[in-house]
Amino acid sequence: MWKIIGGSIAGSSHTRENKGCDDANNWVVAGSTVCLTVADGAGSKPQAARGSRLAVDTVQKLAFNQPTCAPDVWLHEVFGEVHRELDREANGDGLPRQHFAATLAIAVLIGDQLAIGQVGDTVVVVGGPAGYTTIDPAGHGEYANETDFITHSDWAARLRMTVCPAEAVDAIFLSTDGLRYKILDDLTAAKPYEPFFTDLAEFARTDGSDNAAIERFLSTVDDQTGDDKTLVVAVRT
Amino acid sequence: MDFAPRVKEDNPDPRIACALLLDTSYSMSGSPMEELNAGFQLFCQEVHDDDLTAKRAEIAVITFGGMARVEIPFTEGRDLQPKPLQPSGNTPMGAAIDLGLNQIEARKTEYKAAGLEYYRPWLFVLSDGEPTDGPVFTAAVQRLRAVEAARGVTVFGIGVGSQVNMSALGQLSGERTPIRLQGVSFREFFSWLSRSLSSASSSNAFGSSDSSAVDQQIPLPSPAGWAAV
Repeated sequence: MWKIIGGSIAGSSHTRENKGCDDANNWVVAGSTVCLTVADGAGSKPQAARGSRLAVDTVQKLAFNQPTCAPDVWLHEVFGEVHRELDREANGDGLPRQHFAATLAIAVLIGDQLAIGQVGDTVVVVGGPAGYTTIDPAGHGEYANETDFITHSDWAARLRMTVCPAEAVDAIFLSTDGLRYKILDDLTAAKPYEPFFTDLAEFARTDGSDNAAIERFLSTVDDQTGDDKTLVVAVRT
Repeated sequence: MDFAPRVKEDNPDPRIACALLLDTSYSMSGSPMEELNAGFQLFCQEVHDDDLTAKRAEIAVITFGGMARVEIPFTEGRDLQPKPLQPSGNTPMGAAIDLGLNQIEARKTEYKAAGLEYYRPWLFVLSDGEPTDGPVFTAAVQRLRAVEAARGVTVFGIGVGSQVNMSALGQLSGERTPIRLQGVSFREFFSWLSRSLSSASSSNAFGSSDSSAVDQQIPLPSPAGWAAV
């Protein structure tokens, strides 16, 4: 059994400019499928909040179907469907697809395999007996504020994917870039800051830990960025 | 039930380098130079007062009046101090551009060596005249345009007064047309610059490609208040 908690909150720089939260998250447990999703709408784009919300909702809908194929095959289809869905939405509004730009990370457990797919500078860490590991950290370009989005016409070339046996993993953490400074030990190498993940896994396993506590933490942590923040954690219980 | 995990406290902030290339030739004498100095003093104060800008913005001042010189090498916003500038000589804008690009490139190298993340640097050229170092200027413009095309720098040209050669300033960038300063509203300009650095300092997530270069620029506050129409 997995226990999952998480939340997203608007960052201080967004609140100051009267912008809402451009991050979104959700998860599905359906049969033997566990699917966690986080998305971060590009702060510079007008429809960023809709982009991230629609991306997450699209993943939700597909995950409820309880896929039976290999998780990496399923993930590839899902990223494609998110891209098409954003394209349809943008077309419907007569807007460029880039206005809905969002980063997207999905972790899906199907049967005994865990697959993790990411486009953009999301952070995914898995924990197990071997400690904590960052999965496929985003190698960004020269500049700190540039990343890839699922709306990119060549999203498939930008999709980073990892598959591993589910039995080696007993905790999965997803976050958007707003928390990078606080949860990575080294920004360049993207090493997890282990004390944070140890504390988070322990908290998630505690009776009574809930989404509200995660949101309170996200609202109060001084993240150095003022960006929106998201955290989703799944632990085996 | 509260969640208060241990978090990493000492990751370094990303930096945004901003080089100000200021025309201090003799024609700036009198009220333009006084207003420029007053504007820069105000700018230092506003940069100090904004927490993120104070930590993340790094400012360099290069003057060109008689000769091009580095008046203030790249300095963190929180340590930036006003320095009164004096007018003298002609307008070696090309030499100043070379010096500015050299400073920016050296700073990027230092960022990389220190493991610091950074945003695309800004280079401002403020002038009330026209370049007097012809061949040097021509070569410097070529270099600047190549760096801009490689997304190495964002270039802003600002014209001051009625004698400025706007078409020379127009050569500096393929992406941004130069803006003419309204009268001597340097204070309004510098106030806009500190707000722009503030929004850049808290900026996140711009596309890496799949859109035009201009589309990837940080959205800046409107220059109304100092820009002549």
